[in-house]
Formats: sequence, C-alpha cells, structure tokens
Amino acid sequence: MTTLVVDDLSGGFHLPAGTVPALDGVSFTLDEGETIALVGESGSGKTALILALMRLHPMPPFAYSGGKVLFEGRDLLGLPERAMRQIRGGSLATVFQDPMTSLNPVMTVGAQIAEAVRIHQRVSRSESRRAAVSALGEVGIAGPEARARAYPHQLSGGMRQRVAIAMALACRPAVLLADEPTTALDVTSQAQIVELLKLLQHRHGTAVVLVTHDLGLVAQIAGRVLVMYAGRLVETAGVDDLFAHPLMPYTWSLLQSLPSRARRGADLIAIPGQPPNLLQLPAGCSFSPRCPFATASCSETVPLLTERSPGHSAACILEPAELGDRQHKLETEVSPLP
Amino acid sequence: MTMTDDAPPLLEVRGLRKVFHTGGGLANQARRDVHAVNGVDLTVRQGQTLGIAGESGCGKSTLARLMLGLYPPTSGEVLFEGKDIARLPRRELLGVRRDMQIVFQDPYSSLDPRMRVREIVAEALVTHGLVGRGRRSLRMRRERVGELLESVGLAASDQDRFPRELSGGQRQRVGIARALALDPKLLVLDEPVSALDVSIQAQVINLLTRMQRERGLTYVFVTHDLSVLQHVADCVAVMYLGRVVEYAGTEELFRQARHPYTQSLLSAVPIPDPALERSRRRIVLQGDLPSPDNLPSGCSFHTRCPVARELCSAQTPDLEEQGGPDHLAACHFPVRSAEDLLAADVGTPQAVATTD
Repeated sequence: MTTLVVDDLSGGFHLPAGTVPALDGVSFTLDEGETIALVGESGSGKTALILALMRLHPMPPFAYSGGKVLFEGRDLLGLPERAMRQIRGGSLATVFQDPMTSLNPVMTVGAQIAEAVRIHQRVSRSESRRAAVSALGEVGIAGPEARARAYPHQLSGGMRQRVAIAMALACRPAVLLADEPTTALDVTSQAQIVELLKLLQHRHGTAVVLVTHDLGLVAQIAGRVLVMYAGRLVETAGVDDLFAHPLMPYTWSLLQSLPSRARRGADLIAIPGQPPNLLQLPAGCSFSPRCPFATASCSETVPLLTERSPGHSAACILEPAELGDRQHKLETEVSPLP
Repeated sequence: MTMTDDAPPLLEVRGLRKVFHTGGGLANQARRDVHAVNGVDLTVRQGQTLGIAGESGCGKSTLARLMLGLYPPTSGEVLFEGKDIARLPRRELLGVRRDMQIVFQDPYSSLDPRMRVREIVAEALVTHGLVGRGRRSLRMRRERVGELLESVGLAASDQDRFPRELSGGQRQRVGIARALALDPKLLVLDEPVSALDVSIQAQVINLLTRMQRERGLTYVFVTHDLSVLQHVADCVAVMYLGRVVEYAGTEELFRQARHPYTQSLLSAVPIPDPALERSRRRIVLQGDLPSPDNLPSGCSFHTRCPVARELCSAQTPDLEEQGGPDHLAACHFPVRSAEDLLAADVGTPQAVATTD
C-alpha cells in the first residue's frame, strides 16, 4: 500500500538576487514499511524537499509553484495549518541531522517526548510521562526512568539522536523522514543508530525516507534510491540495480569517486567542477558541464526522468547500452600511479 | 606511497602525553584532568603517509597539534629530524615550523574571512621573510601566490577573491596552497576532506596524492574515515582514548586487524555494495565512549569490548608485536578475525549485536 505520493512538486526561494528553483518537478511514491534513500550533494535540494513535504519552509521566501503531496488520502499542501500540525510529529515524523539543535536545551528529554505525545494523543500527563519512558527504553537507552530526567547537554551525541528517534516514533508515525540522522555521529554510534532504525521499522512497519550523502549507508539500509541533482530527481531505482547499473552519469560518477571502490594508490575518478549555482543553472541537463559523456545536444534540452527498465528511471538522453559501454571504457582507462 | 620501510624517520613521537585541566574557575566546578593523549610512540617516515584513525574524543587532533608543537606536551618528546621541538630555542623553532604545516578540517573557519586569498597564502611567506611585506614586493608576492594557486588547481586570478566567494572545495585548495607556500617537508592533514561532498572529496584526495608524489612530502593524515585511509595511507595508527591501540601497514591492518576495537571500527563502516551489506554480519559496540577525564582501569576499551576478560580491567596492555615488528596491538587477547568477536557470547549486555 502506498502511504505517500509526491506528484510533480515544485517550489523555490524568492530572494532579492533571484528565484532559487530548489525543487523542480519531484515525483515519487513511498509504500508502507519501505525504506527509500534520498541521495545527493549539499545544495541538491534533499533537505528542501523534506521541509517542503512537512510544510516547514518559512513562506516567504519559499513558495510552492505546483504539485501535490498526498498523504493518507489528503493533499498536505491544501490543509489548514491546524490540521498540518496534527500530522507533523504524529503520523508524519522527522529526525534531523543535529540532535543538539533539534532538541530543546531547557527541557528534560522525558518532558519533550511527553509533550509530543500529549499534542497528538488524548492522554493524561502521567500517561504521557509513562509513554516517554517506554519510548526511551525502546530506543535502547539504559535506565530510561533516570534518563528521562536528563537534559540534552548531559547526553552524548549518539544518545541524543536516540532521544530524537524516540520522540519521532513515540506517536507511531506511518512515515519517518530522517534527514542525515547519522552524519553528526561517529561510525560506531552510526552503526548503533542504523541497527536501531532497522529494528524499529521492522517492529512497527514504519516507512522511512532517509536523506543522506553516504552511499555506504544507502547500500546498508535502503530498498529504493532517489538521486537528486540541482533540485530534480535524476535517477530512481532499486538499490541493487542502482549500484550495479547506474543509468545517469552523475550516479555513476558518485560511485566512482568513492575511495573504497578505487584501487589503492590509483587516482580516484573525481567529478570535475562544482555543483551548479541554482541561480544560474546551465542550459539543458544541469549535470552536462561536469559530465564525462556530455554531447552538444545535452545542453539543449532538459532530459526527463524516463523509465529505462522496470522500476529504474533516469534523466539522461544516452541509451543505457551506450552509456554502459562508455562507462566501462572510462573505468578501464584510469591508469594506476607509477 | 611506494617508499620502503627503511626510509629514514622524519618525525618521531616518544612517550607523548597531554593532560588538559578543566573546571576550577568561577563556577567552582570540580577540577578534572582530561587525558587527551596518554602515552603515544609513533614514527613517521620520510615520503610516507601515516594515517591516524579514531572517533571523536580519541585524541587524534590533539596528537596532530602536539606533533607540530602547537601545544607543549605534558611529558614525552616530539623529534623532528632528531631535534626535540619542545626544547628548541625560539629562533630554531621558527626554522622547524617552516618545514611542518597543517591543513585543517573546516575550510570555512580556518581562512580569515576579511583577508583576500592573496594575503592568506602570502602571510607565511612574509612572516618567514621569503618575500617582502611592502608595496615594492607586491609583484613578487602576486607571482608566487599565483604559482601556488595554480599548483593546487585554482586560477592565479583567484588570489583577489575573498574566501566567501569560493566553494568548500576551492577553500580547501586555498588551505593546501597556504600550507605548501613554505615548501614544507611534513604536512599534517587534520580531517582535510571530511567537510567536503563526496565528488569534491575525490578531487582533493587526488590533489594531495599528486602533491606528495611531486614534492616528496610526508603526510600525517588524521581522519575518522577509514575508507579514505585505506586509499592514501602507508600505515595506520588506530587511537582509542588517547592511546594507540593498533598500528600496522595499511593493507595488513585492513586484512587482519588484531585489536577488537579496530575490528569493530572496520565492521561499523558501511560498504557501498548492497549485496555485500546484506550478507555482512556487523559488530555493533554497546554503549558510548567513556570520558577521557575518567578513564576505565586497565585496558580502556574493556568496558565495551565483546571479548574482555578479568585481566583486561586490571592491567593495561602494552603495544606488542603481532607476528612481526610492523604490526603492533595493545590487547591481552588479540583476535584473528571478526569471526572471533561475532562468535563471542551474543545476548549478554556486553556482547555484540549482529544484523540478520
């Protein structure tokens, strides 16, 4: 069953310097219990998309210019703010990157979770306290009774992120939007949090949209992947398909640039140049100035996200077979260091 | 990178300790001693890259700064070309400083926002008297800075820009140009690519390896990212709570780490290969890193170690050879593979969790 449908969502920031087209025709669906990874570099629009789904962008400068976000049968973009508040943190929850800034520093963590529960469920104060303690226990915090009385600054980074997850999951959301939830953490804490997310998702059937720039994490947790570049989805595929046969040169380049994929001592295949300035997007395909396979026609038309094989779409004018040949050629050309 | 192990040492660190004192003060908090670096011995050989790996709070950045003489050590010595930099007279220290430079993690806070790139890169040249300070030397400064910027892949004309006009990757290139200005022998790289996007990370890693090849530079590469070290380092020291717990050649370390902490660190790093990830069993450490102001007794890893025994909390293990002089580990019960840890008592609170 599909729980979230994003249909041709567009929007941008209206700034004195011009309009930044942060989201350009983004469409995807999320099924119950599914995990989708949203991948891209900083500035590609990942976080802008999450905030747009939650209607958390300050307006102005942000304005939607089209599209729909269908969740539980309703278009979120048309809801009154009151109704939206019930959904936010209720059936549609978020976890952000930095648990130090997303938690309230002057409230105990127990009180924060209890507050969230009280806003979304008709329960008494003492019931909400109990719910908070059990939520802390569920995310693997030892001695949840005592920890509920702690302030965020008294906890480690990994522990704070557990608290943020406990708060997000306390109201049993259907969908969890997790924006770089482990980026601020060390690898061993990241491993703990990832295991926890998988476990809780399995237990409650929560669907997850995980925003990350870490392709290792994507391989570890995602079922499907959305690749974003300059405000557009440029490739969507099942995780195995994407890693094995990327059909958008940007995705292929990202995979090639990983140190763990390169031969030791060989040069990495770096993507030349910088991510584009959204105020001055290049004509045609916005990746074309950095693309190793670009041709003259790439700067003429914007390629649409087109299904190339079942469940695998890419926004590139090159045919998959031709692209495969060219990728293979470049991969074998890279010579090791003397 | 292809240098042999008998390349002469450029930098040696002997019994190095650094204790920071916190608390006391007006708020009348309890005084605490933070053992940031707690007895480290290391050798960095000429033309090689020593990787220092560890998580936040393990003391790797403090160690990097001690190596450069940016902090005075509490005890122990830092020998650069055989000279103890803590005991050098000021004049001589300035000479040594020319030979050792640092590149910082955050290219946003490590460049002065009110200085132009030209001034940032030329500052050290002027300080060390290599170019004049005044207007008359302006042309020479421009030329020298232009060459440096071009060598790191920027345009000579970028010298008139301010850091805010540059992207993260470009700023990091400025940081590298600044470090190279004095033609140093040693470059300490403190998380030089961690703040950058993957595509830009690859550009900067390529630049660093090219610079090393062309100039015969010696690197100390500090990072939490093991996949970067696997690519660039000749040997790796893994730190935990102020100590080196394992040291080996890079390939050896990634093939058969002996310390349970190294094993769990390697196991925690996700591999960008979905099929491999699914079949992988992961060692997930329990609990958090203990505080360096309240170190556990004995082996400081014993509180989280899946295979700790009684001896581990009583006695601190020394760094000992593991089958050869080039592989050291500080563990009473070194493991042979991740399997040893995964086989350990699953189910008790101390034990490892695994993925299914």
